[in-house]
Amino acid sequence: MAPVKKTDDIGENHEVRFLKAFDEYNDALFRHAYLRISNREKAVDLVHDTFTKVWSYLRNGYEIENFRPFLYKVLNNLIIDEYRRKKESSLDALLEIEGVDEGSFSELSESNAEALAATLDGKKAFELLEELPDQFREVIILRFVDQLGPREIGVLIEESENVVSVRIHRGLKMLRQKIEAKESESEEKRKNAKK
Amino acid sequence: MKRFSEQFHTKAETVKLQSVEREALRARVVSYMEYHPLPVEAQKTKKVTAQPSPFVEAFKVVPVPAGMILRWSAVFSVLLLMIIPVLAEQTVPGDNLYAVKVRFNEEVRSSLTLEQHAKVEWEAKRLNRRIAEARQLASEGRLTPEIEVDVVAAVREHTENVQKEIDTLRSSDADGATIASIELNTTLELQSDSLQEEGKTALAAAVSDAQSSTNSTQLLVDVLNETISKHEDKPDDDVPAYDKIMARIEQNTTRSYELLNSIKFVENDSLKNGIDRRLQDVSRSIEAANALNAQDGVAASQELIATLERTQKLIVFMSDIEVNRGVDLESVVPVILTTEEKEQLLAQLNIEINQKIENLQALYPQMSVALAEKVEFSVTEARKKQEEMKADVQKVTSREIAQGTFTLLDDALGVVSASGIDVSVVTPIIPDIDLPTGTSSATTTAETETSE
Repeated sequence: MAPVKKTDDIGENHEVRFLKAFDEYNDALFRHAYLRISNREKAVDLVHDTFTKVWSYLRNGYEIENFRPFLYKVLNNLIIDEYRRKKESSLDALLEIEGVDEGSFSELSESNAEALAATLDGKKAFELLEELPDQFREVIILRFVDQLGPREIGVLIEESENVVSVRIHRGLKMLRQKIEAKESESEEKRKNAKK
Repeated sequence: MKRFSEQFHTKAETVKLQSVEREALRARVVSYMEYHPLPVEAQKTKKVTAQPSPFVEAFKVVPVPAGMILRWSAVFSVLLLMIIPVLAEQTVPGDNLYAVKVRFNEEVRSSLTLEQHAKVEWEAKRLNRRIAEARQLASEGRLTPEIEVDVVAAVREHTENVQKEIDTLRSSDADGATIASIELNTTLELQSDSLQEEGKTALAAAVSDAQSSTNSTQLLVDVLNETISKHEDKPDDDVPAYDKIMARIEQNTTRSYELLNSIKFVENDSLKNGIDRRLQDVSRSIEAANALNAQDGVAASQELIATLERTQKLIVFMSDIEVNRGVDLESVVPVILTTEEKEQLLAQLNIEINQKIENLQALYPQMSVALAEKVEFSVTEARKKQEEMKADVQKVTSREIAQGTFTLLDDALGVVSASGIDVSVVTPIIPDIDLPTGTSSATTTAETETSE
């Protein structure tokens, strides 16, 4: 994972620092938003809203030492708001799943997740990402796209590190099942075509 | 994992803003920033705004080091409430902290004392402290007339207070009040006597050394005597109940032993033995009083009161041992001889008296008839006293009686000598016997006598 960059040139003007953060993170934020909500225009709007919110925060006299986690936090909140607006019915289901996340020991281990990930094809997994429930998609994106550590993810989504690890593990498992399902499906298609 | 992660990431990297989109987004954000500019004070970072502006100088907030103030005030309070009162306790009039001792320490203790007996005791103690201070100053030659006036005023005040407390106590516990009154009087008498004695010594010193200033304590003595006489004028109450006096003596004896233990390490053996001897006397007196109680209750009570006075004197003597160092214990509390001691003493006295009489009788042949008659009269008187003493051994109470008989016979010898008869041929008289004094115990007396 890339080291967290700090824009902590204290002597700099707020505006300069803010625009520097924009140039540095606009792509990453857009990617995150797009992968989460699968809507390009909406994703651009969310990134825009993220920056204007942070700017308002600065206007209120607060100081931001490290922009990256702050920007992610704001964006994540906006995405959650967006979900609530879009799929109010599915929110209950979403909350229901949250309650069961204690996880087994094997699911808590990072090396276990690695072993599981090693069996997966990254490209295929990425394509199937959209099919995952957002709860799992969120952590997979944060972990493998934004390259945050489980602890940082925990802070961001306000869950314990264990819950994050379990979700990553389950998310990867789901991806594998989907990949396998897809493979067997295409196998059958090929067989049928031969016939 | 690396392979998956890399593949996944590489694939994800393909998702990004097109440059047109990015430019448009940037323009939107910048225009938002322009429409919503930062307020003046937020334009610069905190580091910069931290510089004091000349326009707000008048309202500058001065940081108060609250922690430091708290710490120092705690230290100061400890100093004020604990150390100073302890230091003040050792002061005498004229010292800087004396006011703390009198107006703070003692007043606080007064207000904390609620029980009536304790109040009387405390006020009496305060009175005692004032007199002891005056005596200490006098012994150090620092008692100026101004200080003496102050001390006298304080003594008057405390005496009145004690009297008031005793009167209050009388309504609830008449016997207790009478006992307290007896104790107060004993204390005053003792202090007055000690002061007078010291006054005499000081006067003698002043006569021998013209330079030294006399620290007369006469004013104080007068006040004490005045108070004592006032007390004596009062119609004496009934004799307190036997048991109550006994209880009080018990208390005093306990206190005396405590004091004796506390001074053991600083005082010499002879003084310690002297005090110990007096305490033994007290226990003997109590036994005697108990024995007497069956026959004559009033006499027994009187005996006990005398014992009570002695214990009180011992307590006062030991309480201010520093001040009383120069005072003879025998003059404060005379030794009471045991029956054996009295018999021994009587035997010794008889030997001496007989010796003196023999000496005089040896000179009869040289005397005129008139002179011989005079001498014979003295001898007869001496024999009478001898008989008296033999008849009741209890009458041998003090040095004075023995001395009286000696004087009688010595005078007779003097008269003989004056008539021109040579008295140098008479057998030399053995020196005065050693009566138990304040500094020797019963055993040492016995030893001295046998050695002689």
